[in-house]
Amino acid sequence: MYLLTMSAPMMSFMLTLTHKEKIKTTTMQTLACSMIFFSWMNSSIMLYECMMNDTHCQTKIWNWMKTEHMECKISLHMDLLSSSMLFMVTSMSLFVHMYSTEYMKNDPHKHRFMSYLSLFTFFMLLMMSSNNYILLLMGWEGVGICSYLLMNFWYTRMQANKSGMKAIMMNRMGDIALLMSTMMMMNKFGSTKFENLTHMINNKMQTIMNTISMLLLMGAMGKSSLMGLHVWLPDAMEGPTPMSALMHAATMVTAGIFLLMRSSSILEESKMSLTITAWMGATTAFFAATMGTSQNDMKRMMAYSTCSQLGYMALAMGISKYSISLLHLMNHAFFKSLLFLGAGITMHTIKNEQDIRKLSSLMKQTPMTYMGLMTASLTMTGTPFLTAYFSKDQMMENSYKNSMLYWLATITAALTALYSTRLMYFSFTKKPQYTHTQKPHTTSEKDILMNSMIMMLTLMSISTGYMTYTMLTQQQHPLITQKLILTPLMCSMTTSMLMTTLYTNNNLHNKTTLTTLWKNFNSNAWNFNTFYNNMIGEKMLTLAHYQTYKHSDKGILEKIINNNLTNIMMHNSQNISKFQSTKMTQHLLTMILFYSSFTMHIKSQKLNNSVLFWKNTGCSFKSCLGQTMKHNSLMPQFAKLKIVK
Amino acid sequence: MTQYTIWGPLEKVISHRQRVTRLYRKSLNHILSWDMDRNKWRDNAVRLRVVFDQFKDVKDPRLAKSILKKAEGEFFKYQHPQPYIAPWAVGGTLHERNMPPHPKTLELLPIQQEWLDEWIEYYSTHPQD
Repeated sequence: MYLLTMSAPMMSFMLTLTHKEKIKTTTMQTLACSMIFFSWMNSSIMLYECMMNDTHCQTKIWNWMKTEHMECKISLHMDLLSSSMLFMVTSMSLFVHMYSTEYMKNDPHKHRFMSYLSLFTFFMLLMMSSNNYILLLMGWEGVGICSYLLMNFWYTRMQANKSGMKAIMMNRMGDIALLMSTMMMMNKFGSTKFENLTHMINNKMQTIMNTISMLLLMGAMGKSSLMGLHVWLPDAMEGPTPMSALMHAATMVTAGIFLLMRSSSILEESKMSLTITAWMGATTAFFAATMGTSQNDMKRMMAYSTCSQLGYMALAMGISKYSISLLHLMNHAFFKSLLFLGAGITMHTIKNEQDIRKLSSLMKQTPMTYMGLMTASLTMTGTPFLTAYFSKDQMMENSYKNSMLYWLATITAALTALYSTRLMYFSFTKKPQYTHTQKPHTTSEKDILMNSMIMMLTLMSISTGYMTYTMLTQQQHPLITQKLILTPLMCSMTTSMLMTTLYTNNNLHNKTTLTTLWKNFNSNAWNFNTFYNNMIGEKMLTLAHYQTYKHSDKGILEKIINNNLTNIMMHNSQNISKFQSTKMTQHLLTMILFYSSFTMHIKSQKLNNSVLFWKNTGCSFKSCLGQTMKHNSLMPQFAKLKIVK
Repeated sequence: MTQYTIWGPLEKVISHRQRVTRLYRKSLNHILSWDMDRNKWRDNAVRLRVVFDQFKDVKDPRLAKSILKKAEGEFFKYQHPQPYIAPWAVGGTLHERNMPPHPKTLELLPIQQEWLDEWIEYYSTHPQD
């Protein structure tokens, strides 16, 4: 069953990609969706087994490699973490596959899109269910490749190419860190299996543990776009919206968080890395939220929101609350993908417009989407008894030991409410701003499949947190709010109401120098891109040009080695060519010299050979004679012959 | 003195008049990007027009140049970091999406065309193959 869960998306990929000319589009879509549905059914059973029956199992598939120092098997590991992630990934993949059948119906490359989605699901499942770091790395890299392919789906767009390259470059840093940590584990422990590592780790190897956990954290930073390596995520919105919903909101970006959860036994041995993780998380949450407040592109705003929520998850892990982090991860997957899928419908309604300055009063055109997006926004702000309430406020309460972290998280909650309100107000409730060319067409929200996906995700966004809280955290949630929980809640509610009032009264357009500077700073993403371009990219390119190309390639290698070699060769060949003259006497002299030297050489060699021959035979005879004293059969025939002669 | 450029490589090519008209149009776009409300933008647009009309009769080229430079500086200071770009315009979200290939890429070389013609002729006469 475990193998079938994973192989179904792979089969879907193979069939849809290779038989695209033979299979009809509708058949292909049905095939892909049914394969993912099959996978989802299996993962639901696995979740039931692991969550309800507390099962823990490992399945060996095949021995991959065996060396002197280590052994690596392809085997699957199924526990509460894996099964929860598997369920979440297959659910989201199923929703997105079904949604894409309608959303991408006018695109000429539907086959390719569906096949990439299936391939991504396969690699994601491989990563989640692996039982060692090497297999996890395979899934990790596969997911990165799929991310690039899907981001660059419209490959004729220059901006999409740039975004894909940027994502690959940024992810590569994290990948290298993960690879280094895996190699270090192999070197120090001789195994990369999660279970073995849990038993081998001890407090005595503090430096090694610190190094490994920091490398793992860096790997997570790249994939989960934590502060520093986050710049690729907003640009990743160049791809189609369903892909953004699946990869850059729900599943792929949570791979880094999953890695840290999986490596919890290593992280717990290094207090330094835990502290850094917590601070990294809180800072990411805060700065991404500030950037989200000043974005006008709907999808980029949601990307920064994702970044902020991932920061919350990292914060929860930094304070050793892994179960709450996992809970928030699952909750986030549902409400964020709802936001993205809803945004997709909104964009289709108003002719692919995704700037919120041009979206307005869409509540009448898309009531179902409005309802879904409103639910997702309220969930994200932590409204009581909705999904995120059970995870977000818990992690804030637990971070109270460090008051700085707590207040940073609380301010972030208020900022979350700010950008959610801004998004909802400008997209749905504001007075119409569009011109006659952009006026929404009346055919919006007629796709039953897309609407049903929105409905289902809305229900999941309301109920997942309540349903899974007890099962994941093994404790009862105190439904009555406590004092600490009230603070972030009050902050976010007050901000929402304040912003709605200000927007309605149109009082937020004071264009002073300070507001312009703040807006510029936030819109340019705290100048991270500028810093990377000017301070790292440009400097590295200059260094590469001058040091590697000009001094090394063109300098040492070419001037000293290549040029000198050519000069020597030219000189020698010119000297040799002097023999090729038109003088007959010279030719005759050369011939005589050659023949005389040749005959002399042959004669001298014959003489030498005869002397050597007798010497050699004599020696061999002597040695063989010594051997025959012990073993008569060893006397070589060759030596015998020489003696006779 | 801050170094700014809003025209890029065009700065030395375009005339003074072009610079003024383009600055006016660009300013209108950026004001619209700042003011999300179109009614509010209308007020600001009228005010901008008044400012431009105030200096339209300046005959002294040096003075006109200095006024333009000052205006460009002000624009540079207050320009929107994310100006609105229509989806189908250059830099928009629909631009270059599923672009058809250039017609020349579908053209065959004479040798290829000859081979293709022969191939079609052969298969039309030998359908069993």
